[in-house]
Amino acid sequence: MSSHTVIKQVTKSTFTPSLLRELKSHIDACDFISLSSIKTFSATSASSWRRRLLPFDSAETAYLKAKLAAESFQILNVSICPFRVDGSKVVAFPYNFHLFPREEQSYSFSCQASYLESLACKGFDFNLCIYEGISYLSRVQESLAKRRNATHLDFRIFSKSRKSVANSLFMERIKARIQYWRKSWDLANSLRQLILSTQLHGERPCMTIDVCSDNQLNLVLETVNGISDSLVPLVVRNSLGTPTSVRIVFTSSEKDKSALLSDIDHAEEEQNFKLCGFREVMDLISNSQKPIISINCLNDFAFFHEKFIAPLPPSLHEFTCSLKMVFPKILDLGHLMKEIGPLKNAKDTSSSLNLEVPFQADRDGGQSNQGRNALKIISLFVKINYLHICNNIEGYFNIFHPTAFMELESVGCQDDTNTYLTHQEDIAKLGVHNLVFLWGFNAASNLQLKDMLRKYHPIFDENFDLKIVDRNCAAIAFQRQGAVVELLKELKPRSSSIENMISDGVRIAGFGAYEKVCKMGLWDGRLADSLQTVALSDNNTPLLAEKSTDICWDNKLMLDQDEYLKV
Amino acid sequence: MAARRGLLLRRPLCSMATSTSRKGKVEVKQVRRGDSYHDSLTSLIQSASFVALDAEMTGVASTPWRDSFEWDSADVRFLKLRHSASRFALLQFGLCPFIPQRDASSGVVSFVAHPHTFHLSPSSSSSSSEGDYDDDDEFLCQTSSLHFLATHRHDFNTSLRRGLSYLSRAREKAAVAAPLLCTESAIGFRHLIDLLSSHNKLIVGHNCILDIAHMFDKFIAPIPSTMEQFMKEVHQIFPNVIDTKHIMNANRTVQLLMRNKSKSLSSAFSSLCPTISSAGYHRSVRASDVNVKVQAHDDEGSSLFNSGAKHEAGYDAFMTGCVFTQLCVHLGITFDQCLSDPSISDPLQSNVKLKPYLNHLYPTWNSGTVLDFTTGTEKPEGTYKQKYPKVELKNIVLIWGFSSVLKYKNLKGCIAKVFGPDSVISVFFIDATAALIQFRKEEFVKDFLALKESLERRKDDPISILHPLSVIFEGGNTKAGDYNTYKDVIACNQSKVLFKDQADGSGVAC
Repeated sequence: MSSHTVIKQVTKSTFTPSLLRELKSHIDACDFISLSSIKTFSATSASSWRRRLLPFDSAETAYLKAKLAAESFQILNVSICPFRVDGSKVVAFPYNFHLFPREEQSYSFSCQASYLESLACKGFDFNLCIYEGISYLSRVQESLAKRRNATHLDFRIFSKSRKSVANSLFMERIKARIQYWRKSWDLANSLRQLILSTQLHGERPCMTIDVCSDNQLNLVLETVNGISDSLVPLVVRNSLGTPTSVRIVFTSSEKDKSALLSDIDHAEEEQNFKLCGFREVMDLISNSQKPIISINCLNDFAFFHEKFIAPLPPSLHEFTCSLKMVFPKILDLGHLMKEIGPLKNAKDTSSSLNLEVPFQADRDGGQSNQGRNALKIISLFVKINYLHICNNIEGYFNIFHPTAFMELESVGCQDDTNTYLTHQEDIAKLGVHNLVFLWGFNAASNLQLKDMLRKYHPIFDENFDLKIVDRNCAAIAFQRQGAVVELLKELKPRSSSIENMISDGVRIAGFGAYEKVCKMGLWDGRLADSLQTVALSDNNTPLLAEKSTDICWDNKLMLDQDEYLKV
Repeated sequence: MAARRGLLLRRPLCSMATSTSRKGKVEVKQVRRGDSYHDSLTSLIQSASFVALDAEMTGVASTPWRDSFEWDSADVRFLKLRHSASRFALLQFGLCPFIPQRDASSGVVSFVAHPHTFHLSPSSSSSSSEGDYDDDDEFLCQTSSLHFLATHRHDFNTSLRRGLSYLSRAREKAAVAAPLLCTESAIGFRHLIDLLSSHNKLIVGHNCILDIAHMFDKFIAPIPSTMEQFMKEVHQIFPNVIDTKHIMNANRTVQLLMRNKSKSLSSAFSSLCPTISSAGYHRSVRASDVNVKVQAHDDEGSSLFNSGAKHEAGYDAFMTGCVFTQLCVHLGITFDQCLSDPSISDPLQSNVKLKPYLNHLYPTWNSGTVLDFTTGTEKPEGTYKQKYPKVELKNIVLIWGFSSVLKYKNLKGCIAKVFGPDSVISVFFIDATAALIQFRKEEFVKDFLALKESLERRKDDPISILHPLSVIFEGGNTKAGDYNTYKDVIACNQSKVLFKDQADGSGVAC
């Protein structure tokens, strides 16, 4: 991909129904849609344990972190690129949408300062985002808003009212009023025609009837429908969504009536377009049912769910179910790469991507680089397909594996994609049953801690890797299956070596403790303190993992620079 | 990278210094990373009679219920202030030294103002050094505040691309162990704050309690946990602070002068300093007006000047200083001392007529009180025009989680059925999910909470179902507490949008 590729930048002023129609035609004609977003934080560059995706995170804990992040941070850009593969050529239509919420949508949000500054240095235009960003409503927010500003045409659905004397009297009175008004209007109209010898067109006559309850509303609507087909009742509501009156419009013919109804529909659509904002784009993608290609899907789609669909559910399973109803086919390149393993021959291939972007550059010649990530994803995807023919791509859909690899941001050119692909070699596939958490120790470095542990217990003579998470807390991954269970068994009743550790203030627990910390939302402060809270409340049980899940233990990843500095 | 700039968004970076456009415009020096300012500003501050300041931040309240309310006690207001200053970031900091000079012909003392806008990097925002809170890389933005700044053409890119970083005193101390963090430029800006402090400079702000709190949090140390301690520590560092909003509210002459006028900074500026704010540039029209000139050029040559606009920190600081000079005239203070006697280093702050206003800051909400930083107390201020009747905190019950259809009328009505027709003085809805109810008598609070408990204990018994208060407790999610519960919820770290969720998540007893 050349750096001159035109990416269509979409802001409030260029976000129009016609742009949406254009995007829809591209989506209809595409094979896949690549999707990427820029948020006010990045899970790979954050420093605190609750924000950063760590090598010992299971899919579940990674989801809980993604949920917390999606509830706290904001989306600034979504880049969307429908593309199709034409033999050796890829035809792509890259769009980049600039987003910024309204106050009603998000009262306040968090930002990761260092990440925003790195974005700014790479040329990200925050002014464009804040001044010109498109707003949006989630589906849930929309239905709440609609209930508040319920639309005029609500009369199509109403329940039949109970027949009672009071109701009948009320209906008779309303009927009489309407008929009287119609007659007098007919009279006035013929007078007007007589005097002005012109016909009234364009504006339609109408009258207003005040209502003070839902029952009265129903009665008025029933009455109107019973009188004549030429009358169209429109419900007028106050800001709280309570009906205050019914405006009865008198249409001159069947044709006039359908014209009025379509006018109202049209006006409502326009209002909806403005109200839902960017959500319309997500609906387009959802309705197309086209496969979506993305990376770091867990994080991105947690954000999409929270901002454009509904508040996030409490567990990963519920999340994937809910997401599947909206986006049935999502392919996470991170998961795909993990499944097919390192592509050793990636470095040898010199084939460059034959990418065609039919967009024309803006008249003012201004081009923006913003939104390249969706193109990078296409490049990765095509490359993987080239190197490893996936016969059954469907088999990889809708599995979100936490991937803590490089940021797409750092994938600048072709060579970098290669590094990306071969990086897989450093990932050890372990399960949560290989993990123990350790806290309360007093060691200055990784090596010192390892030495200390060997003195406590012979199991630490085995092969294990250790990462210091934050001060006084570490995660240990044993190579041997069963080592963790053996060690934790000694917690209750306490063996002498465990007794020694505990008397030194060193605490140990299985992955279950970490899982519990995330589930209970004990995000504040240091991980050691949260683990301690859980351990105390469970009376120092071993806290093994509830079920066995895989993790990606990246051997090369350093969590804490300090742990290697101080030796 | 050829990023497209927002076409209509950017403030012109160079001011147009033509003779026509200069009329009524104020040139504000823009300081970004890499710009030189330190030496020139140091000498300006040293020779200034006072320094006006102002700050622009990323927001004030993280949730609707964290806004200041009429029924907030001093403690609650402080908790809200502290939360705000520690979580939101500074985007701009405005400093404007006012230097006295004697007009050669008239012999009258006038001022030369040097407005500076510092663009700050939000990444150095938090001062929590040995954090009780871990995320020192995070700050909050209030959506409406960013929209507000956008309508005033704030350039967010400058803050993020070229904002100055800074280091609080507490961080600098902590960084001795890890010198990597400590860069020369990071300490540079902070040194100006140290300079203000070490020279005991008279600092002037308008409605500046939040600005002072930000200054403390960002440049000194995390804000202490009590208001008294906070005021004491601020006073040690900045012993001479003037809040022009306090003078406007406390002085009868000024009150009379500004009757029915808005006391916002820009309105005060145009009503008190018409000759500066309007086209009558530089020239004093009324005899009582203090002449303020703006020095727009300096020796460094390469500096960037912007034509100042409302809500740019440097320009707001300039307006604040001008308002202060005019207020001094109304207080009967002359500026001759500022020049005549070089032996007095602090002629203004030792002035008897200014003294009653010194270190008295207007609180975040007009509660009829003023914050006295000299003594570290919040005391009643008789001259403040109080908008609201006094609230008896011990007569207040907090309820949350009730049905969303519950309105003032039903609430008051069903309580009246139990406690008598006049038992409720008023109800304050914090948001749609929580309310404070003020009873006429303190004992009603205890009775109400006891009644709630007993109704819950006998949930399915017909007496409970038919009880008038059952309307409030319908659904079983309604919780209640006294005023201390309210305080405990506010004191919590998180910021859930709805008060109900915050209260439920904070684990307060109920």
